[in-house]
Amino acid sequence: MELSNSEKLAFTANRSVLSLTSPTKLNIITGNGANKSQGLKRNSLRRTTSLNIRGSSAVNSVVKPDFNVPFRRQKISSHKLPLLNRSSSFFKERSGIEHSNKTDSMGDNAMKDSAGSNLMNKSTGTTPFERPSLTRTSSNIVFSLNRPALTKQESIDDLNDPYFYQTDRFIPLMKSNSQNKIDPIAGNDDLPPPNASPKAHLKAQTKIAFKETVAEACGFGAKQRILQYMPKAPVSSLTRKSYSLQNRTHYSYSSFTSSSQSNTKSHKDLMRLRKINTNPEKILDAPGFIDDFYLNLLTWSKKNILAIALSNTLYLWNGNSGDVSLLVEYDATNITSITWSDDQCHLSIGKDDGNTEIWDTETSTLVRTMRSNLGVRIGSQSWLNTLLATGSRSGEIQINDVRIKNHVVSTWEEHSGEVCGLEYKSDGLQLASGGNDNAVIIWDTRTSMPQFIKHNHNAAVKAIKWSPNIANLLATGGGQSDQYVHFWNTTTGNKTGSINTGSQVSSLHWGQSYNSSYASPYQSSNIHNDIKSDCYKFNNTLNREIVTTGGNPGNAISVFNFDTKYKVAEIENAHESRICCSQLSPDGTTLATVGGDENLKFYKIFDSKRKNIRRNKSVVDTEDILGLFTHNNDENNNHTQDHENTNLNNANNDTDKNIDNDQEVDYEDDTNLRTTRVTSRKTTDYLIR
Amino acid sequence: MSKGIDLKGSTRTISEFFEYSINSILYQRGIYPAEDFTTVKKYDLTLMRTHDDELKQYIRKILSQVHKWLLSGKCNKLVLCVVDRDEGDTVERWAFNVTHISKEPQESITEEVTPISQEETQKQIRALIRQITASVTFLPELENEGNYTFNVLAYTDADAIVPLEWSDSSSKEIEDGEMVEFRSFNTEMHKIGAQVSYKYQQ
Repeated sequence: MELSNSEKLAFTANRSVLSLTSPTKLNIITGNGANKSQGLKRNSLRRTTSLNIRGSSAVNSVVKPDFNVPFRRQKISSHKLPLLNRSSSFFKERSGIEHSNKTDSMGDNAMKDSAGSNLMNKSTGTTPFERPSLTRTSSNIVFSLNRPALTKQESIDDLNDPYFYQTDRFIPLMKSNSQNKIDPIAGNDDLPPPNASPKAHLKAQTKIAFKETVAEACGFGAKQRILQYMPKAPVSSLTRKSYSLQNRTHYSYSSFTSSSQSNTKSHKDLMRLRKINTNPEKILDAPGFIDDFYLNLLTWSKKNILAIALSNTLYLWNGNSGDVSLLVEYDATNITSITWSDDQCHLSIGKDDGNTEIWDTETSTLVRTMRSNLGVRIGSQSWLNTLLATGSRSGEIQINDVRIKNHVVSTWEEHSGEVCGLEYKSDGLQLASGGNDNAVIIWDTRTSMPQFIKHNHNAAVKAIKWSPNIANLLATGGGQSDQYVHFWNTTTGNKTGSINTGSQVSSLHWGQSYNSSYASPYQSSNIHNDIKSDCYKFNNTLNREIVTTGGNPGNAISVFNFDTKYKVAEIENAHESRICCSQLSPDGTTLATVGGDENLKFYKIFDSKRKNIRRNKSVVDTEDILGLFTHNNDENNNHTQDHENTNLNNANNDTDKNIDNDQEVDYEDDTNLRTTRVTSRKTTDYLIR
Repeated sequence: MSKGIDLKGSTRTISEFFEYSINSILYQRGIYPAEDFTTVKKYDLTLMRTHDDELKQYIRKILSQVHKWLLSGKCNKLVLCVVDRDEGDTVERWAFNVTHISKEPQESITEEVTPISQEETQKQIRALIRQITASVTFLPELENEGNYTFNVLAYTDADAIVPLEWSDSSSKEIEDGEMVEFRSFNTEMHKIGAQVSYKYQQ
């Protein structure tokens, strides 16, 4: 008995189970119920009711009402009360007699019930031969109905036996079974094979007749099923993109797959399109500004003093007070490059005649004049503490130590054209230079030898900037016939990426933006869950961006996302002629540009890093808390951790993230350390300011 | 007789009609935003068809299955239910009855089945789609647009082969709904009737 029970259960499990709406199956239940005792009649009634709901609704709206339904049912169920009863107890009786044939013979018996024959007690003799001819559809139903009685192994003799209620209760179980497909065999009302016993034929005939009756009563054709296509209809694109429409900042580039990021996350595909103010915050007149691509005539100190060279004069503009002062005016020679020293007090001025002067801006006095003895203009400079690298028109790079008398400590001759871009890496181990010979050279400052020489650009390379976050990441931008920005891993010398800017790159700067606006409670409630979490991530995510200034066409300021390389913002016609130089404000938000139109304009481009640090310090930020609550717990934890990290050192944390994302770049061990140092330096700067 | 279309052609016509009518309904009833649709010339009409890939794929998947059923003559009704996203109620039920003429000779009575030219079919389809389009005028306005989705039901024979994505369902009838019968069209092998039922609101 035990065995056969489990067999039966297993059998039932992988049989298809009736579905309410599928008459081909329904009928069997009803068939059983109809022939059964009063106790089961309750069962059959319920089923009938549920059927009628569907049936009558169908009837109401589609077919003419058929009021015969209840009548027929009653008629059918009014006789042969004891049958099920007998069958239930019958199982028990038989349990001792027959073991091997149990499963099938029970189905058999039930079939006989439904056939309305009185062969119940004889059916023990069901031949194995007959078994396959049993229509399988019926068997599962019968099993399910009988299951409780069988498992309990109690005799059910009383018509009002409580197990009938149990039977009743098991119906929903069957209904809840998701496997409600009819198997094709079951659907076919196959007649038994010709060699089957007359009983089987009679059974089959009765079954078909009954099916038709029920189906007719229910209002659909006997052989019909209603199928629903289960996958959900896609959400309308409006809803899908609602967040982007609200903010006009998100765009999905599904086709975009970053080659440099193998573990591209879903939110990586979401591009941010930023909104930046296309109107300058301030415009200053810059009369006499030399419209020369190769010169670096603008520099902005960390103390917020902007120096600009206009032909032969040098002006200082104090960003805090707005005061303008004249530092120096030369008689004949033009100024060709200016750079603030690392101590922010001294300004080096490269001149047309090849001399470099160092001025103390606090006292407005000339501290030192260093002669290059080359006789050609100094177009680019870069400071490293006491060292000043100067790039000359003839291609030499001189390293001057301002402390010693023979200031030229080394001269590097590798460029064959004017050196117009020059910048030390923050740790001083490397110097990147770009020249009019279209070459980018990365120098090893310890060996004074070129480490890498890159000829990927097709035009003069003036725009050179090291990434503030990743120590060995360098961005270089080419001139009019090149228009590309290339990214270099200066440890391995690999090019890690490129951007076609579509115009001359006269300068470029690294910047950042934060997606702080997306975590506002209103929006996050509207956004789909996973996106929501992404948004939250965004909220803490630094978007590394590049701003480039250009000339033809458009004279535009363009902002690119470093990770996606997509242009995320643009200020077209920022100047009336090409932009020659630009400098980023000490807080990293505002870009000062000066162009051939002799205007100095200030554009707010980036989000302030400082602001973000401050915001993270105040942990009890409503936005963030709301953001936290909208998340799953596990994510929540992560974010909380992230958050703490961010509090400690925002930039450092960002670097960590970048390392995670950017696999191709080969990081040096002390990357983090160095970045920390840089950051702390910056933080102090902010404090000073 | 021979100039009429065969079963395959007839089925294709019907599947195509389903695609366009589903698209039209989705557009007309604002289930999907108008921006998702572009105009196409079909049946000498300017119809709206979605260009949203996800939706296109979804409809195509449904119809390719329906097409298979039609080919084997096992599908006799296709229903598009407009369902309230929150409540799950069916607010509109567009039903397309498919009658297989060849299969049920007793229904096409005794008279000889006259061959139906493709042009005739096209004309009928046009009329039917026009009606569907025009039905917007009497159908109740769907409040808070964008809050609706749709389900597709197929009435098939019990012995039809059913892929996993399809499962038995209720008929999703609208209780106490109003019903409007549309025109029908015939192909050589099929007769397609259409009707819409909708929630009647005072």
